[in-house]
Amino acid sequence: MTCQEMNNQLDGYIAGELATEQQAAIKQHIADCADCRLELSLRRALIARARTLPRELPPQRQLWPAIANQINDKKIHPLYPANRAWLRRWETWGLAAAACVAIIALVWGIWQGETTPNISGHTGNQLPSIAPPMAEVPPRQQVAIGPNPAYKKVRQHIQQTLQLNKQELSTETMSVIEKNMGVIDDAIAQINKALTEDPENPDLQLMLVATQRQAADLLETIAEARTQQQSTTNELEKEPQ
Amino acid sequence: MGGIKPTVNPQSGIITLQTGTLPNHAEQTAVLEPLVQRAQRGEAAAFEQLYHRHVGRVNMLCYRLTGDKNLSEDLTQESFIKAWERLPQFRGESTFGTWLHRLVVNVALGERRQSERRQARIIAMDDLASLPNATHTPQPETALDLEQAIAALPPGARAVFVLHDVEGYRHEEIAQMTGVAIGTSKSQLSRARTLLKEALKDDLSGDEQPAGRIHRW
Repeated sequence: MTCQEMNNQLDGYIAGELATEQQAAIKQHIADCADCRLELSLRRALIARARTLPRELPPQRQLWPAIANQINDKKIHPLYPANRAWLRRWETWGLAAAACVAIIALVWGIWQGETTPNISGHTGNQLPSIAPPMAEVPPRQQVAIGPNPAYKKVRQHIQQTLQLNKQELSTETMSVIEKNMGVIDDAIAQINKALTEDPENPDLQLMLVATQRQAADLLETIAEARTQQQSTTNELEKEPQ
Repeated sequence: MGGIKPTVNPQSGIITLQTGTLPNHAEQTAVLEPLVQRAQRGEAAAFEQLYHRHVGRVNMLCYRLTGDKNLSEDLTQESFIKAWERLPQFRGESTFGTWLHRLVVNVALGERRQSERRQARIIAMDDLASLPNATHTPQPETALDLEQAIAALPPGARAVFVLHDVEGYRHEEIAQMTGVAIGTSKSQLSRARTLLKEALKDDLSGDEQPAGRIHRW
């Protein structure tokens, strides 16, 4: 074995990774070669010293205040959706629901605009009283997994209202409202499903309540508007007398 | 069990809580686990305690991997912010220290890769002149010499030497962390040892010691 060959295998020899014959050949070479003996000795000394190096180096400047500032930012909170891919999926559902609420609001606004001029001639059905207040929807900290009774009540109420006024609404309007209400319901179901996996997740809880509240507020507005419209119609009908 | 002792940094005046010895398994379980769980629930105060327990080691590792004290502190800060972000992914399959250590290595080596791309700087792998103490002048503070020599190593060789000879990782693990082949890791280690040995030859003479066991996180 030459010194160069020995050198090439020295680290393997130190690590004990070589085959028995190679180990023996190097051992023999070292016994006969002072230079390679020194080389081995220096390498071993280096490795030994590396293992005794200090393990800690306190930073020269205060790092915690800057770290604290950053981690107190909600956007990098460990529970923030941005850090959880699966949660982002549910957030999409929440956004879809919000979009649907906006669509329904728009459709409702257009429909109201179209029907208001003809209100004097209107002889609509008797409308139920306005929807139950969404104040019954629990605050964020008290959100329970599963159907929210207050939301369910509001939802059923507006469903009835819509059914009663079905003749007054165009097929298209009814279709848009029903389709979008379906998406909102799906979104709420998906968020509820996510909450069963992570019941204490504050962002999911907030998302659920926000979606329900948005939907319920809109439905309540629709019901209120219809009630007011009915009462205006009744008053106008009374005036000639 | 390593007791926790406060130390004051004379330059910054910062009081740091450090463990006298590496936390053993019992300490990891009894003290760190509840802290980690609290931090995972979003409790910043618990995370702050974890920070104080690990900042010295994290900063040391960042310094050794980059060879730059200012950069190491930036990376230490970044590492803890990333650790906070990724805490939900920590499943307790290893100790928190081990998990954090790997994260720090990724952050530090990621920065190195970015820096290399930015600067497109090529450091000659065999440039012995780039190493301090190449004149082999013996110094009283030998550990400092070795630190300086490590800092002056070419980045690839430095990373492998630090991870293998200082931190005790195996080549398989280093290859996984750094994204190089096992053979490349071995050759980088050999190169680093050769460069360091040349730089510290006089100082190392007569210094041969039996290699002790490396205490990993």
